[in-house]
Amino acid sequence: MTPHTVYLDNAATTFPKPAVVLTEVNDCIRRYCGNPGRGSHPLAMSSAERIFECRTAAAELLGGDAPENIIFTMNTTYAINLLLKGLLRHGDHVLISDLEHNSVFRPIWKLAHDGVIEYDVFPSMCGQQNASPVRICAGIARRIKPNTRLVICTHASNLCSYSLPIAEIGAFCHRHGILFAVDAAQSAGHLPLHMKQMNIDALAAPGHKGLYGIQGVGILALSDAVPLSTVIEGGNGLLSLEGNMPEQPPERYESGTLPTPSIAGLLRGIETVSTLGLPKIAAHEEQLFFRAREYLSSQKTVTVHAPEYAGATLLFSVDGIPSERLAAELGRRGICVRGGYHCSALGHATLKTPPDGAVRISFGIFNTTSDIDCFSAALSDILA
Amino acid sequence: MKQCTAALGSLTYAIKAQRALAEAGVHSEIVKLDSSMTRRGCSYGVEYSCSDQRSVRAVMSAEKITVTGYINGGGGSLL
Repeated sequence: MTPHTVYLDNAATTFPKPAVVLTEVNDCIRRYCGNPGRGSHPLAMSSAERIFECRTAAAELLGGDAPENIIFTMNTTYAINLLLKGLLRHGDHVLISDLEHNSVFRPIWKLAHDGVIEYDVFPSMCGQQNASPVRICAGIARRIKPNTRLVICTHASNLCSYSLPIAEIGAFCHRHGILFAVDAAQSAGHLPLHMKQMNIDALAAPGHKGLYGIQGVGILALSDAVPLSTVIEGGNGLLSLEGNMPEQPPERYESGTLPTPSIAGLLRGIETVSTLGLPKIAAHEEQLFFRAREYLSSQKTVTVHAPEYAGATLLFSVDGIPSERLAAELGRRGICVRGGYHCSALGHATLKTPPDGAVRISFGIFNTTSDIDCFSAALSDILA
Repeated sequence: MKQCTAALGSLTYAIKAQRALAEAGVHSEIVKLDSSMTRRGCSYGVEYSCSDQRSVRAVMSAEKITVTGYINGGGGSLL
């Protein structure tokens, strides 16, 4: 980054990364990065130990069953695909929310298009004054069918700072014998998560966003109640004489070499988040949100979408300026933001953004109020 | 001292078992089991003093670690 760059695209990936993350990734590559579970030599074992430590830290942070139920994937999208395509069977019915990212919507759409499943969309009630967990669960209840097998929804929107009441939805699903999965792409490291207490059967999360690891690793956390068919098969150092994949997680779902440096970095990222604490992180993000919202609300041509929800993500549009052009103009002034549709046609339709989408700014632990002031000055320059 | 081995489903379970045993005061080594011991190809286990057998079984049960077999004597390659 140049000295004049302000990074406000943390919902896409957090930047920069904590020094401890960079140090661990560097140490891993330089000192101990053998192939975990392949050889019987010290470097392979050192890698395997570090990966196990990351599984343990992730399970603790997410309130999961056990470290062996933490499966490492390439990213959140792969985790969700692994879940959906390993779980769903012909004739199943699935419910998703109207805020879903394409990481959920597209695999669901494909499975439905191929005639494997059917699905319906339930209202998140984002932006509605009478929104409540009871009403949201009632919306789910109205759409349940005898063959409804799974409810999967985002926890926090990737467009604004609205979050779904996943604890209440999880309890509702389990009362009705339905599995419940959560896309925690925008909430892991921001909002409290506890799989057991929230009745979450499966949870997908990125390593490189709110958990401050580097790109290249995502998480699928499973409860004991969710055995999946494999989607990817191949070598993993176990039972090499057999055609079948091993029965037990995590290796059952982890074919091919794991990204040990990314996972080692993720361990330090999770430790960073745990040390700071979610309340402190949330308070910091809300402070930045309020400062940005105050400025944007003072601009006559600016619309802030879902402004009532404070958090790590803020969405706005400007009359007469297409979102991608506005994002590019901010980029020329050193402000890193994202325009367009943010891979969520469902979410943009729900928020009723302009036809060309909107601009998203998103905050992280390294942002300061002066970053918001730089952003405000740059936008004022564009609007002048 | 006579060594015994608990065969486990994966390296992940072997690391988990070793750490759980250490917390219970039982020293163990992770070993890679050869195909003659598993008949299924590469697998892992933990090797420990046979005098700790009762403690090992208790820890495995408490931690819900599935043991695919207890083998009297060592035989795995020490990692």
